[in-house]
Amino acid sequence: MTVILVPAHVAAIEELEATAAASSVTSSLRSTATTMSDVSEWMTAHGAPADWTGDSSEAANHAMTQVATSTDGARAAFTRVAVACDKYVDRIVELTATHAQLVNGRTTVNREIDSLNTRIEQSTADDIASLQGQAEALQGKVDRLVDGITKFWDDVESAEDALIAAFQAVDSTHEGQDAADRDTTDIAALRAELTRLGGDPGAINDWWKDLTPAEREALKISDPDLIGNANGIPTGDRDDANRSALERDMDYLETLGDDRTSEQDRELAHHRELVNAMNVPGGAIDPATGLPVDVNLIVYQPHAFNGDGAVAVSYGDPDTADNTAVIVPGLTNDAGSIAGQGRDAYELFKQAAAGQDADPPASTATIAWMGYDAPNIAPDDLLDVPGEIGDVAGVGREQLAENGGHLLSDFVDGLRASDQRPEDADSNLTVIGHSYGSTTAAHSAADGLDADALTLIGSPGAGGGVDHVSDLNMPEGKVYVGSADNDFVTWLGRDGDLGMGHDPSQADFGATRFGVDDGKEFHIDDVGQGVTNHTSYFDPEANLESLDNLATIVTGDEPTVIDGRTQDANDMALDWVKDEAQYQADRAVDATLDKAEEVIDGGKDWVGDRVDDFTGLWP
Amino acid sequence: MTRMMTLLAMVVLFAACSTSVRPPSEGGDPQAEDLKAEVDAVAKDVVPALTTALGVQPTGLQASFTERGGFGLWDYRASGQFAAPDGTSQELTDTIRRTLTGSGLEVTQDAVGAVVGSKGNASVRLAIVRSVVAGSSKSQQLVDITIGSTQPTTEGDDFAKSAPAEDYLTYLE
Repeated sequence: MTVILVPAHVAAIEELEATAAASSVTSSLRSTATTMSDVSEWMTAHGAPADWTGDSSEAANHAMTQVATSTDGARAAFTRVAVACDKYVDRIVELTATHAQLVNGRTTVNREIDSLNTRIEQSTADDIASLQGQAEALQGKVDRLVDGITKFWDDVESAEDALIAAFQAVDSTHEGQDAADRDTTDIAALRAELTRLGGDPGAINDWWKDLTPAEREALKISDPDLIGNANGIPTGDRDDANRSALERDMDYLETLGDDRTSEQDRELAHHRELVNAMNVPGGAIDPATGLPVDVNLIVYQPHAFNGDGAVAVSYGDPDTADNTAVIVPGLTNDAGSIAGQGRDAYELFKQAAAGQDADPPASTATIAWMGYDAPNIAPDDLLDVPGEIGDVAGVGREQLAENGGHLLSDFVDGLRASDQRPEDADSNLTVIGHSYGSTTAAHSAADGLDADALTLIGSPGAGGGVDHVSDLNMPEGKVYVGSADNDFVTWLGRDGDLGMGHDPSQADFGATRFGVDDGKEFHIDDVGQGVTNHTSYFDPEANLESLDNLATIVTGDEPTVIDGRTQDANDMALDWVKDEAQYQADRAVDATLDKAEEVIDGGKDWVGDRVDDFTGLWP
Repeated sequence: MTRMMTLLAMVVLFAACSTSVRPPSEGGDPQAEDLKAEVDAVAKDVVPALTTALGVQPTGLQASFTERGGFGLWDYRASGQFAAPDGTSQELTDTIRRTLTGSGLEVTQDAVGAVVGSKGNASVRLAIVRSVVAGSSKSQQLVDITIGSTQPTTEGDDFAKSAPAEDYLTYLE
């Protein structure tokens, strides 16, 4: 009897317990280090109050120096472990990919073993030599896979050991102080240099790349608000800095509890919305990488624009993505509506990934950019007439759009500078302006926006001074417009001193108009439907045609084109007003007739009843 | 000038008012709380049924209300993903259609091939996406799922605003 030694199934590979979500620990460590850094700096800069004298002053100064020294030691310790945690998370991301590869390899090899067993059961004596050869080859595969699994777990252990060692190296006050003493990073000089580089994202990116990892980490901890918002700093580092600043601010505001002012309540509500925005993908896999969607907090300035706040969240990494979209929101938005903006951006991200034929699929990053002061009303501050009503009145003028356009250009320049792709293959970058955001984006383009395509949706106008698509300085054929005919905001475009410029969907404007669902007709008593029409361009159910065309543009292809409008936008509005007046008049007449009928019927009944009543009195 | 001021007034009025999305003849908008209950009830049927049918647990299903800009229009949605279920794209589509129909939803397929099931004010959309396997040249399939309200609501701002985002799997259990 001949024996063929078929390898046994490879046992299941245990799940890797650590995930990239461990980076939240790094954010917490960094945030704590930031607080320590702030305390240490404050203590060093301030002495006892000026009116203290004598022993009490000396004692206070001494105590403050001691606290500053201790907190600086703690800051150095947290900085060290934050660097180690960052390295650990990077290693875990690599190991997660290796784990997925091993799991796939195991599935394949076990299937091959089953298949060989089946062939052996059905074999004849003539097949034995061949089957023995196959079994040996398979054994070789199994051995290599098992070696790979063993090495994998060794690597996991080694990464964990390195992290533990980093913690143990600074787990006492003395060791923390030693770390602080050895730390020769001149934060003040680095800060000064970054400030000197000012608004040159290319120079900032070059300078950042020349820093040591320790210097970068030290800056992220000492100045997260500066690093997180400096255009040109790589996206991942901006995200690190901004997340620690966000955590610091949320901790502070939550600790205040009932002592929070109404402004602080609003700020905390904005922060919670921001956390919701960052959680939108909820760990879903990015089809282009096979790893969880990389969410980055690229702008975080909670106090900007009188507390409206400036924030930007990306789904995917714009520094490495093949295609990038920056979405500029419009009227009524601020940092408090970032979750809804994030959901729109993530819908676009998903649709861009879903609609691809390329293998492997091109990678995408979509950014909800609330980085300018859009006209809006904070509902709790409706009575703040000069502030809030003045702000919403901004919709009638273009100053906010002009200012926002400059900020948008700077932000896009930052993305270009931090793009890690080869110089000749930068990310294909599309700016999508919605509503008043389209006016902002158009202003930016007219002044020089470094984008590959510009898309205006739900636009009230392309801005004063822009008479034709050629005024937008985009590559030829790369200005797209989406306008739903039942979106009332698209009825506002007009030339002249008031308003926000030409309707870009007019045929003679010269942009490429793509197909969108026009939305349902609406009346004044269901005007929410009109607003729904204006806010559904990214909605996969209400306006899939629009979302799919937007995704097509973002991935560099051409959308489904339709004819530009030939009816003046304002005339569409006046038509609606006339139709609505007629509709309401008809309804009023109907209602009056119904009422009269009701009265007459009621009267007849009353007379009939009375007749019945009296009839009973006379036999 | 008068015409422009009228139009601008219209924008501000539209932005500030909270008139319903659904016309009065259709009963107006449901309260946010009722809308949530309606969507949750559909999810309670559909999510376990899909989990069984596809053989994998969904990840990242987090449900929350989100406002459209500052317009006072609230969507209630949860989105997540079934990673690497077995079967071809067509087999998965058939499985999903069967499961949604079995849960009493009216099922259609949209222009990009996603399966959409609806019931009352709730809808479920499932899109099959091809994905790379991390660190490998192989590919796998993902099924993106979105459960939510078919249209936003304008009613119950306070409830929608204060409702915390929920881990939907835990919540549905």
